Amino acid sequence: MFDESILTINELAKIKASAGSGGGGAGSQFSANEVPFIAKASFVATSLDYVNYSVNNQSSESYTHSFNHGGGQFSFANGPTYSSSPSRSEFYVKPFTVNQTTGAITEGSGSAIWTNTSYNGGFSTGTWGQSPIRSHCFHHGHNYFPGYSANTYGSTGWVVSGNSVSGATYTINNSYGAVSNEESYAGSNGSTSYWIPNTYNGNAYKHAYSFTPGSLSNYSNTSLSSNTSTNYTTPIVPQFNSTTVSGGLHFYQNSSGAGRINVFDVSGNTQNTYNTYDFGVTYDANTQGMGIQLSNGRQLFYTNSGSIILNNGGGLSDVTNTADFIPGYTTASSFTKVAQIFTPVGVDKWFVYDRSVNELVKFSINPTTYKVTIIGSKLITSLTKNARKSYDGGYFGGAWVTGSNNQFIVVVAARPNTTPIFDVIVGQNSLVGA
Amino acid sequence: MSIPLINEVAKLKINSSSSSGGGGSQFFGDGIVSKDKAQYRLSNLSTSYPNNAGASSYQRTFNHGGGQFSSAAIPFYGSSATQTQFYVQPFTVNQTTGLITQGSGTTIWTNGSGNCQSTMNWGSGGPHAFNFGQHCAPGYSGNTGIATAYTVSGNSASGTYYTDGSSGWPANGNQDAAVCISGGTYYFAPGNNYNGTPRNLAFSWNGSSISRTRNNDLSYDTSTNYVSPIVRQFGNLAATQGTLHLHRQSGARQYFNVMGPTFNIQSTVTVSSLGIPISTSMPSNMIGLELSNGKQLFYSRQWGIVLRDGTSLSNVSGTADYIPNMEAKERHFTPVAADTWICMSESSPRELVKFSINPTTYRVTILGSVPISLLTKSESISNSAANEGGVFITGSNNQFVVVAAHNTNGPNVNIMVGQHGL
Repeated sequence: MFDESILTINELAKIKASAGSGGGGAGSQFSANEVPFIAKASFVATSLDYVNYSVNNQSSESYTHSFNHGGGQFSFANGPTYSSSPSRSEFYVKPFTVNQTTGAITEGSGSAIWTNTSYNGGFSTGTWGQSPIRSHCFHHGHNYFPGYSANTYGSTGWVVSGNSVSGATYTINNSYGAVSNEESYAGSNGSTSYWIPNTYNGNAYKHAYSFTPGSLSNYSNTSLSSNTSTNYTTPIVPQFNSTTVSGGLHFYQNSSGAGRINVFDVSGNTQNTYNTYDFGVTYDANTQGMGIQLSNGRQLFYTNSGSIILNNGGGLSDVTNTADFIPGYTTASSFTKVAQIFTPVGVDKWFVYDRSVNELVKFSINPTTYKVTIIGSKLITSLTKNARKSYDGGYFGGAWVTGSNNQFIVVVAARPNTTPIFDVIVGQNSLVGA
Repeated sequence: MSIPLINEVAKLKINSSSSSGGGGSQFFGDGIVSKDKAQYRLSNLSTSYPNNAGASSYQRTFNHGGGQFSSAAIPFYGSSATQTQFYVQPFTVNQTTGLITQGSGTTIWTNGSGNCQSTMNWGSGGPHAFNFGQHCAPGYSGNTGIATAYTVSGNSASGTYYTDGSSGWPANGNQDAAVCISGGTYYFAPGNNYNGTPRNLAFSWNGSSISRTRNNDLSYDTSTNYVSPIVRQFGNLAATQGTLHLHRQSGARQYFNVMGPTFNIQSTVTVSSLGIPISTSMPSNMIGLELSNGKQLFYSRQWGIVLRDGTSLSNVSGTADYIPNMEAKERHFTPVAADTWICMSESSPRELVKFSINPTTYRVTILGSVPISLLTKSESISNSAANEGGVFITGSNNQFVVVAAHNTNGPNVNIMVGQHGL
């Protein structure tokens, strides 16, 4: 007994020392070897001649997007343009893979999925989407589409698989402007995906597309009888091993300025309409949120008003007082309009990138009580070695888990100088399995 | 007795476990123990009138080695009276106890005919410190290009200045400039332009005499240009190999001028030839670190990582690691062993981070870290010191951290000294 006490005291001292200043201890985001390095790469994402001419990735890295397609397939999308002469703009997608056993990075075949051969201009405001069929991707933006001499609104759909890009197509709808950057709703049923970007035509509209590879069809343009253009459809985080979602929410204001929520099914058919004030939302024009698809078909929506809304078969209820918030939650649009930062890894289990602390957090949600369990977390800066680069990865790129046993962490970071280039870092994740 | 201890072990294991999210609060723990604290006024202007110092970024603190430090500002009257001065306040930090001793505050130059100062570059090497900007230089009532150098020894400062009386000669942003030592003489290269033209501009300082050694126009299509500050290798008083200078020519094409230790341009490399696309928006500056084998690594969140080997450059972004701070602030890095530095982390929460770079693979090893707010007790003060002041390592065994936070409402500085375990 006496000897055990001494041993315990020694162990206590050792742990305290290792957690202290010399070991990267209490409060440190750099904890050495928390996420051991495996591989790194930098890729240029344009077919333009950047060696001889200045190329802009128009305006801001927020006009770029990174995707985790599952199975180790990733991609980066952006809209580079020459800054002066010659004249050319393009929508360019660069795929890469992470080997599911070794973590090695393999460069894919980048493609300009459309090209404007006559004008410079690139991208302006645009919203992104990714179907539960994770290879299907979307963008609705104010871009220099082929043949247009000015920013023109339209939607683009494309497919990333086999480390290449295919099935790309676009549809011009210049009357329907994108409300914001970040993400909008994308759903799927069978092999068809549905894309409902947040758009306005004077005032708020439901503007919907169906997509199969090579075909993007605009099947709905419905006025929401709103008194303002501001409206948001919800991006949805899919359930593990599922290629469909139940539907989503559409936040807007009616003609009197009262907040409304349309609940819609997977293809955008409105099921019910609610008042936002029933969910603690008193100011409505900017109400937005992102959803998580649960294993029982229900959905939880985390909004920028601090409310948590449950969708159960098209009926909404306010569960703010009983449900937990999830890691990474903030009322900022960088969270409430983004589903890209989640990786489904098990039934009702995900990893999410918490940008406020640069940690990749593994958590689960009980699908009936909506309580959250934190399973563990990883300090991304211990992999990137630089906290601001971690933040760039979370905000302008992505931080995900991949591998045959979820044993790898992948960080993608766009560079903040508006050039078409991005960086990839792969590290070891000890929070393996489902 | 053993049961509570076992419980405490379990609790600590949970708190320090990597799988539970690492560190916890940045205010928790005893990673830094406060040793001393002081505040100094960086002016000897009369207190009967307002003393201005411009923005806090217009003031700096320097680590001259061996526990000798100095804080500098360019105060001027806000109204009623007329005078601008370059003021230096030396202080020492005892290498064993960490106690602060105030030195003799000195004006390096004084101008009685104007109240002004403007955008400026700062730099230091060994016992010396440098400033370049447009200020009310002696003999001039308006902003005039002036370079100032001073030396600190025995807790006292002395120095002088150079000006040709030209206006329209601004520094390019409030940033750190590059400083090198060559043949016992120190050379200082600020980012600058003259009437809109970027220049290859350099000054020399031997402790008593300052000279403008280079002043050459560069071809350009914008005035913006950057000289990367360069962090010295352990055992050197300043960098020895030169640095990179970035400027832009027609068609928005951007070039690196590879500079030698006197800031002579040795070669010119097109940025895009390194596989780095260029854009019309000029990014911010890079930070260079000099390695033990004479190579240099330049880091930028915008550019990635560029290796300089002699007069050649290569893009190593795909293989080299990032470092904990990629801002162009030389003052945040203290060399503590071969290819090993302690620096301030780049973003909040601010931490001291000890790291090393393998000089051939360019891979980084994090050796330890500790939140700086354990000393400052305020993340805001930590951010202020990181952004505009300085965070330094000193002591007989590098056991002390010195935090200098300059204030925005006047020419003064808060100094805090703590003992850390890195």
